[in-house]
Amino acid sequence: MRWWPRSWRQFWSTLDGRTYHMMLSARPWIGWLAVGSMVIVFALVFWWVPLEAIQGYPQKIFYIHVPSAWVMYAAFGVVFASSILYLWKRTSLWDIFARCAAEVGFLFTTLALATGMLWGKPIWGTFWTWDARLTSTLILWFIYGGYMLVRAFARPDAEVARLAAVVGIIGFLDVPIIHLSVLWWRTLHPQPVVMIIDDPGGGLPASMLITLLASLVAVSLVFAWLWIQRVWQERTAENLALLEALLERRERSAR
Amino acid sequence: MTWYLSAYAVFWAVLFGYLMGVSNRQQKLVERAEHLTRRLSESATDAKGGSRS
Repeated sequence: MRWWPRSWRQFWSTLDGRTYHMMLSARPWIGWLAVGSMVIVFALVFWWVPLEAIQGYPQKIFYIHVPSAWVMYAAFGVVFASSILYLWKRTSLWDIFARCAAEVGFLFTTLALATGMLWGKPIWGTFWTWDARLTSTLILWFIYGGYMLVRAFARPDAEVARLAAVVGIIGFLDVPIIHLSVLWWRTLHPQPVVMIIDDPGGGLPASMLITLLASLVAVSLVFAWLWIQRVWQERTAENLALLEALLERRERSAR
Repeated sequence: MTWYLSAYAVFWAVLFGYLMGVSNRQQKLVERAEHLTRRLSESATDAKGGSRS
């Protein structure tokens, strides 16, 4: 396979296959990097990063809560882009990319919600409150939960894939709402603390920022590996189903 | 401390649970591929036998 296509038309029509092959060749590296970076992150969280003065231990939940939420955004971004490309190109790989990203994104949304609740209890005194960010995240969880239920129980055909792509695109509209909700509405959920643009000296201290960045990289690598693995499984299942159908036809005609 | 440890425990438990699910799917795919390979080789043998007779 030539690395660079001859024309834009060829570029777009071969992009799914190229992306898939690139993902497969990067899979072992991503896997090992994910394991290594996770070990480093947990060493940083448990032994290196200092305790926050006001919140104490519960603040350390930050290092898994924020990366889970970031991966949630990234995963549904993949669903959004792949769904648009599926509606345009109608090739099954784009549909597989979208549904696998939705599955792993749903997992990380669950983790963001669960870790947020376990952080909320000691700090806010409650697991849950109908705050703008929490509520919009819960809506996203339901949107993609519904998306996955339809995909799990409906017959896998082009009609369902088309419908799912539309839901995947519309559902993504909730992501900017979640992100900006803390600025648009007065909420219990804190506003951005990583970098405060108006105040150069504000934001997180260096040790906390390093730990957070390391955790963002590690959790993103875990997401990437899980997504690639699921894409590979779905593609293999599709190829096996095709082979089984061919074999069945051959056996029927031989009888 | 309890909430902090609970959050990390939940994070790992959910992630490992999902990983187990992925691993089970992988196992099923391998079994399906092995079954298909057996069927393919049987059908090739039958076709050879048929062409000889």
